[in-house]
Amino acid sequence: MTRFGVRDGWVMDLLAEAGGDCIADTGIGPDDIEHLYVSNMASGEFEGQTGVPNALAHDLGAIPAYTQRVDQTSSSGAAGIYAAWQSVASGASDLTLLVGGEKMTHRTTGQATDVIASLTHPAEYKHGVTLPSFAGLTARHYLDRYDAPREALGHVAVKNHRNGVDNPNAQFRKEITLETALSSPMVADPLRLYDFCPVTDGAAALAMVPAEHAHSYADTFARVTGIAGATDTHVVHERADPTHMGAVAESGREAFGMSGHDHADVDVVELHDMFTILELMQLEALGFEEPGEAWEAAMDGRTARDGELPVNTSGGLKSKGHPLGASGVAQVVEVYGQLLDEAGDRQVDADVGLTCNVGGFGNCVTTTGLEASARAMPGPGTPTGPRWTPHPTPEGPPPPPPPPSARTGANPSRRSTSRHRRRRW
Amino acid sequence: MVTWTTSHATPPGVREPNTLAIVEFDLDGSPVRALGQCTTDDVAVGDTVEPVYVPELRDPDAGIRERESQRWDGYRFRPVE
Repeated sequence: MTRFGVRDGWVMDLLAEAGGDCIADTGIGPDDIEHLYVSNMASGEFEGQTGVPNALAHDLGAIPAYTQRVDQTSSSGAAGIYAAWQSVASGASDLTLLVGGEKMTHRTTGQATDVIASLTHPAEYKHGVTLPSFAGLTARHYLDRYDAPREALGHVAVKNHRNGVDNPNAQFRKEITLETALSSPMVADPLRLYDFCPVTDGAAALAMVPAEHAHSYADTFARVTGIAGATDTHVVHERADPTHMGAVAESGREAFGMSGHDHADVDVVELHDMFTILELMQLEALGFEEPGEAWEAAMDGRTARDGELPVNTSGGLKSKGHPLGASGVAQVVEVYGQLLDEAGDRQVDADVGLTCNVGGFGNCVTTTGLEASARAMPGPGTPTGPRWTPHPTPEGPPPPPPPPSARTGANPSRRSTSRHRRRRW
Repeated sequence: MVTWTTSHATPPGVREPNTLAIVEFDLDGSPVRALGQCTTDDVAVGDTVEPVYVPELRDPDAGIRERESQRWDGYRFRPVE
């Protein structure tokens, strides 16, 4: 993935950078790509650039691959993962490249906000409703209903900024204090500046192949064990419970069911913390916490990097940044790195991970389960790793599983603890 | 009034600050929710409100959506004693 933040390049530059890096890392030939998907919400609206899949195939030399743009607003990235996975699982493609990206920072915050707010229902748009204002409305209701302290949301911001310090691709790499978060300028009462993700440029990419081919490209890799998407009402305020993300719950149930994992198996999670309140609501909707209790997890450190369930080790959208079409792809890039012990200073002990990418205010959602290759069984939909096998042997025996890492071996008690940690669902 | 917010970072063509609320009406015994602007920033959860008609809630020519693509009139919520 590219560095996220304020970038000089335009959307095609960013997409080509991420796509080119992925091709180089995996060692695939551009003309080996059978399907090329581009996750992007609004390149036409932001900079007048349409036709990005065709343009990217040209720039990468991926002719004559089938190309398709995937737009599902802020969840375009994970919708692209779903599309890429389907292309491989169906047998339509044996090598699919997914690139997600967005260029936003050349617009003012108001203009960028309006582009994003254009996803709202006409009855909402005419009142000037924006995604941040949905967050303010919901946060007040959540805090009142569950008697949760305002500080809980500040703890989410502090945690994710701390994680972002160790991510070289994050937009913000500085710690903040709880006091800073709680005294920052009011944006959408009761939410303040540090409750919101920034406007960001950036791109991220993944290559997917059938699992039975994965060892031809990489010694270690991650497997998509479960993936599902769901949709909620377009009119947000018509939902029966404003604090419950129904599409998150539905996609999570399906993804868990497909993967065969349960919540206790999950070691690391990337959630769509476009606003701090969303991290809490997703933890609850996915079943990691009971309704109205996720704020306690934020306050007592259970979701910190050294907690029971590390959440947003990348820094999340909050600190890493949120270049719309790239975010869902970047979530999987982070979990991929965690599963393969390539996350550097932010590495946690993880064999199983989960990502949840949200469009609108829970309007469209895709949840993805991932597993490290050492535990993987053959199956479709495999992001390949960066360590290419120079002489592909598709029919040959797979290499032996990697030895236990020093991290896992050095602290077996933590593994035991995580396997038996308390979960309520 | 179920909940409210005051937005201090509004898009082009929208008043700033923009106080919004989700309110719940009783319609023939069934609750119906609506989201809209408020006539004042001085609101609180639990307030009783009444709708006030406004011919143009935001400047239709300032935002990204086409003027002719939708209606721009509607109701703001005014707290009542």
